[in-house]
Amino acid sequence: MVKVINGVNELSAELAGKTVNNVRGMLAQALNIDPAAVANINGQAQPDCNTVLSDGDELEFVKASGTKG
Amino acid sequence: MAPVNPQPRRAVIVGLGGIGSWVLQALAPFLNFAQETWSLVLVDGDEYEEKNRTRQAFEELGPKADIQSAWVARKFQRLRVQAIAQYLSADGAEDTYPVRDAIRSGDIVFSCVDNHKTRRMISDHCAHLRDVVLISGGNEYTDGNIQVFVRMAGEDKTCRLEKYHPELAEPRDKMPFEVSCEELAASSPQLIFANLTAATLMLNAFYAHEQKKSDWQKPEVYFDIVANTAAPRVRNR
Repeated sequence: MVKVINGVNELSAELAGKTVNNVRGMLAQALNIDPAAVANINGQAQPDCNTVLSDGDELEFVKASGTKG
Repeated sequence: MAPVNPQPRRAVIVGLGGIGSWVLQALAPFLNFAQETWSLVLVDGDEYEEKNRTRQAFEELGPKADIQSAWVARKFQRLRVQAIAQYLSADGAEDTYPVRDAIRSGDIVFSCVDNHKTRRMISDHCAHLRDVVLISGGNEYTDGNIQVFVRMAGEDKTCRLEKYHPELAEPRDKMPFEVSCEELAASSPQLIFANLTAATLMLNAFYAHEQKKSDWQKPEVYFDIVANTAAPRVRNR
């Protein structure tokens, strides 16, 4: 299982073997992922969007900070 | 030997609008009745206008820092309060107040501003202080986040605000004193409940820090008021 996070949203699914880009495309709508969101795997930034996910990974698309105050 | 009265601790609220005015509403009574003596520094170059009543907490129209300082002085007499009725800048140019004079080592800083450029400036300044707790909040219409940056004895205990956030690392917006009247008038609408949630989560982070129960591995919390959810997130230093 891979845990995918965006902001408060998260889900776990059988995504091992998929790339970061695959998952971004598959879950963009379901998790409301910004196309520009930075991807982290297990807390480390992943500039390579073709990185392949492994079982147990946590993939976060980091949602941008709130602007207003 | 008689005990020496320690210097009051300082809490600085930068921005007294939708988030900051609510932070102050709860922080002032909390600090006033705390065991330690606290000093509050209230910073904002803006003024309260009639239109702000839809989502900001204030009693009178006028300069935000002055109005809120007078309110604190009237209601909470154990608190010392200082008003800085100017916007912060890196160098104090153009009738602004230098950030280095507003925020000092040892401060607890609530960054409640409405632009990433000021957030980044405050973060950069705090990153050079020996001891500081920076609690930053921001929201969109129904969601947002808070971030906590802690430095102790010259060492980062949490990651810097911008590490995971390119929009903070390279902000594309402007500071308030750089914005034209037309740009100000075009600012997007906000919801009071989103402001209140950001304020509450910032105060929760402050309380956890004071209780020495902060989870430095999770210094960022996202919220969504429609989903009625808040989620802390892991951030590596």
